[in-house]
Amino acid sequence: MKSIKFLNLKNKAFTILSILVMISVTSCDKEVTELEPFDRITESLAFSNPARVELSMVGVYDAAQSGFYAGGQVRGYPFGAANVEQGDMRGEDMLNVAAFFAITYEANYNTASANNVFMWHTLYGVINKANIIIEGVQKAATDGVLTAAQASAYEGEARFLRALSHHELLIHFARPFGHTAGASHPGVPYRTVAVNTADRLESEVVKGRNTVAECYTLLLEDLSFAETNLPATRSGVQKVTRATKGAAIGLKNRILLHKGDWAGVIAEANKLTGYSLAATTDGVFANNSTNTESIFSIENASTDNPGVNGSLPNMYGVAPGRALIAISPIMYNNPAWLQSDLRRSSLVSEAGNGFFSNKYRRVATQEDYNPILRYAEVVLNAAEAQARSGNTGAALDLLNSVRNRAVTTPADQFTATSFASAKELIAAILFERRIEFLGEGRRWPDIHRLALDPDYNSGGIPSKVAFGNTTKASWGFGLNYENGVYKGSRTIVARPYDDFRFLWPIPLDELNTNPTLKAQQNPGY
Amino acid sequence: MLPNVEARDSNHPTGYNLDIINPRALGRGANNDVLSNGIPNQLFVLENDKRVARSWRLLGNAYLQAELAKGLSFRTQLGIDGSYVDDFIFQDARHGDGFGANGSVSQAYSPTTRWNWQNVLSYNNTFSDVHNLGITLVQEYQKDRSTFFQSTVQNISDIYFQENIVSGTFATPTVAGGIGENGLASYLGRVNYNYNSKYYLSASIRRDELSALSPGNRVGYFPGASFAYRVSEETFWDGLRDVISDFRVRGSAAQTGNTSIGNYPYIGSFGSALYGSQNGIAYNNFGNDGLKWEAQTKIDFGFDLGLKNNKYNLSAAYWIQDNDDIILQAPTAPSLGVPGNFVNRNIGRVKSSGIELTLDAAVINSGSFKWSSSLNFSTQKNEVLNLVNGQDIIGNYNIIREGESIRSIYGYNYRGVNAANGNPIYETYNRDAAGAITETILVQGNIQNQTYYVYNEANPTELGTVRALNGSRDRVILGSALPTFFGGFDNNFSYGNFDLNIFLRFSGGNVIMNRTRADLLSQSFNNNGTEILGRWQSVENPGDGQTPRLFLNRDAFTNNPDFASTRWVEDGDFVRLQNVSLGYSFPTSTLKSLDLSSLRIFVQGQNLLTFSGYSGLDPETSTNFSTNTGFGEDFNGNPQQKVVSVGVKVGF
Repeated sequence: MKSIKFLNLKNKAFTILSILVMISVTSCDKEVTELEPFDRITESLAFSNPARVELSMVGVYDAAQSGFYAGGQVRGYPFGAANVEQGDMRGEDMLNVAAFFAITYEANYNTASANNVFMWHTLYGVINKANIIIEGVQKAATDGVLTAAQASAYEGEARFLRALSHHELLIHFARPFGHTAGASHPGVPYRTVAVNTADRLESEVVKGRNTVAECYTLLLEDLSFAETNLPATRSGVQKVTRATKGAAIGLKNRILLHKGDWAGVIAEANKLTGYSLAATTDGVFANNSTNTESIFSIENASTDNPGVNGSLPNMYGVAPGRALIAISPIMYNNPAWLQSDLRRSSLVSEAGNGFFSNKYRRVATQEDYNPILRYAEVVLNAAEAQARSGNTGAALDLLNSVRNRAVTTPADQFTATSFASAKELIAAILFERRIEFLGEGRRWPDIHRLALDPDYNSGGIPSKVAFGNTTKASWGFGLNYENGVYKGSRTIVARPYDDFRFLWPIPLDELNTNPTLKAQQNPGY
Repeated sequence: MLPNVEARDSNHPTGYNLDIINPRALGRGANNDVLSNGIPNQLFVLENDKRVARSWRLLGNAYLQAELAKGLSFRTQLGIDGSYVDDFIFQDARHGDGFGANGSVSQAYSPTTRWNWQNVLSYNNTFSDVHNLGITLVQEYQKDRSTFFQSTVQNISDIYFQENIVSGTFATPTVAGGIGENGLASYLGRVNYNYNSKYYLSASIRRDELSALSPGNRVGYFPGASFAYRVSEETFWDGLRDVISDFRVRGSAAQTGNTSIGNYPYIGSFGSALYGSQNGIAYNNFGNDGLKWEAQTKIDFGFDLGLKNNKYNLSAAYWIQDNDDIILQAPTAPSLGVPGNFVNRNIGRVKSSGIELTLDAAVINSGSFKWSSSLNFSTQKNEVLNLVNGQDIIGNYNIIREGESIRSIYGYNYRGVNAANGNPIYETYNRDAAGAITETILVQGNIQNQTYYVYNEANPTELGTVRALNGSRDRVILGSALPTFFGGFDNNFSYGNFDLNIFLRFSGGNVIMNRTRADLLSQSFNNNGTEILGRWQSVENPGDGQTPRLFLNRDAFTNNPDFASTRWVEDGDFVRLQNVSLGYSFPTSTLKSLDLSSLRIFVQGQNLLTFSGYSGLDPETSTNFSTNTGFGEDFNGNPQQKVVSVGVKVGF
């Protein structure tokens, strides 16, 4: 340190000068203590003009795309990638290759294991941000910043994301709708109040778990509001990456399927217009943003994505991807997935140690969208609902519309004579979902919703293949299959429906800070 | 890395052993698979990737000083402290962290400046030869500003371009940046008085205004006072002075405010929130207008004693440090969705107290050989006095609980391995309504099906009643994260022109959660530490009694690393040879001919030896002491370096 002593005066002029200095510097107080932050907008200004409201709305999608994982990392929680990875790893059709997803795959989660903890954290992170938007746009409408219609459209978007997040919570932390008569069993806390003041911290934390029935009522209310108020179409990058009327209908269609409301599923499917199946089996994946089939996807971009520890192309893709999730021989070898099925070639890639999904292809840029809702799902939902309602003809047509895109040999295609009963047709529809949505995280929601189905009971968490017991030779069409049953080793044991591990636990840090939920933990944890 | 696989392979174009089937991983060699999660060849990473941080520092001070009248002086001082950090990262496209991105170069520049302006008016005078009075008024302004920007480019055209970002050599650029400021305005008044260098009194008051608090709570007043009484100056001491040359009693009490609370903890705000390619902002901080100054009151009293003409000096003091309205990121229930799941809040009050002893001695002072020594020893007792609503604040491995030392390590009691089957055994409890433990029940974690069962000592293989290990019910306090005693022993020797310094430091009474160790016992296909050799293998070969049996990918169950337990918690006591230096000063006769005023050459070793039972790399390593989560926890923390230096000191 250097000190430069450049003046040392003794005179009256300096006395006066120094007194002036002392007086003038009092204005310096403000210079150092009244600091506006340059890197954030104070909450009172976030809804002060229409452009900022738009930015704030996009911020809720950001929370859905890249909430924070342990240590502030971004790994695509909850909907940037993680819902797909967790949804697949809780099922048996995809195979955990390494240690990354072992806890989920082997149902070894506890109240502190990261995957389940951060799904809870980030889903509620989306929900609170959505609630803050709802409060903000309502006030902006009152203040004349937005028109009533603009405010309602934003509220619709926020309520769509709120419903999407609560439903994801329900399939992991609560038993399915049919668990009790009237679905009176515990769901999750359905949060509808913005928590942004100290008072709200106190008043919201005392609200415990809603029943599953209450949750479904609120889900459908949110989605009906969204359907009424969202725009029918959007353009450019927003076409599929922002909620639309169609997205609200599509999600309602899915939720009604989980509820077992077949008439409702059909009614929603019939309302949905403006979408069609892509011409090719990989249309959705080859062209994320401009295909005709995607209804709602979460956008990832080269500059903002779940990164090397989370992105779909890295987790699912072969080298240079990390290839941590393979297609399980349980699915790959299944002869019911016909050898001629185009999806076996267009959507599967081969590596030295097994077969992988080719749905996510952009490893270097990691910009693959996460397909949350696509038209094929609505069609298959409707097919199942029609079949369960006795309309087998309509159901078969819907099934074929998806299946024949991939099964192009007429001899292999289904006809009315292919099924001896409606039950066989429903089984075919359910199996078609496993092929069509393989690697899209839809397996667990189906296991969950069908856990108590009298005919297609998944029985709980199925037994699974351990990667350590496989070699490249474990994959092969029809290999180890007898009478439609996989006979290869499945050393990851099944967890029956009544095992406590069918559900994820409420995280310990929630129990530590929330006396209400501490008394409402899922039993067994 | 794998212990049975070479890191290099001259047949591979890169010269490293990279896997043929999974080229992002280390080659598998004779193994059936690559490392879990496709971990790359670390030797490639070490030898090809680069990380360089260059740091520049600018320090400057200028002042004006004037004597306005007898005893009255004015001084105005301007200071600037600038730090400029330049960070560079290159990740090779061929393998390692740059593989997926096809090569990456990142550069960051982070300037930080602090300016400080101080005006001091002071008056010192002596009246009637015995009344010494000093009055000081200080005005001080300080402002910190830190900014950074960073460019990262990926998809590099050729790994040749690895010295700097070069325009046009990449396909995917990203840019980041940020800014933060804080400021403090202070006014201080202080009066010092002593009577004939015998009685000393002083009192002060300061007014601090901190930008990080809301306008209504920005100002804090912090008083202080002290006294000293040199008893040995009294005439009645004359007879004692040959033995006790100096004796004084002293005491002080002072309050200060904590200014290190971040930049804008009180502001509810929306920060940047990019969604794919779409710009956005999102709620990123929960506002708290009620946040107020965290005040620390420190009281100490003691005495200083000089013996034999101050050849030996002894000081003893008792101190109390009372931190009230401590500001912390208090956790909120995650289901409320508050950003980061915390609120910046005054959480409560924590008190520390202890004694401090220092003994200095000129042990030998005979001609050319001199030895002086200083020994100090302090104790520290810490206790959380109260918390908002009395509610515990629980981190990953620690807890803030009323009546306990702050952030005590908190976890399970581990009871070793079931010798009959290699399963881990833990204590679980039954508690009464008040939470007191009424019964201890041992459970064994059956690794095979990942379920806990009540452990039956008479029949240890029995898997009967299921009883979960419950994070709310079964965790207890395992020890203090803060040392309860510490000190140092400093010795200076000189002989002729040679000088030698030996400085030992010690500390203890705390425990450390050695999380790193759990990672070295991973159950996935990765290398392990040698501790794994002590695992349970069979009833005949039960191992060290602490390490359960192997089971692929069952780390989470077998090791339970998300929680502290007595398996991982270790004593943090240590004695460290902090410094040894040996120097030689050239005699004045030599210097004259060289036209120098002094010349000393020396060799110095820092942190050369540590004596500790702690099995990690460094008992003073902590992942991050400043957050709730890293306190008393060693999770891949960097150990302090051993430094050996050789130097020359020249005076002109």
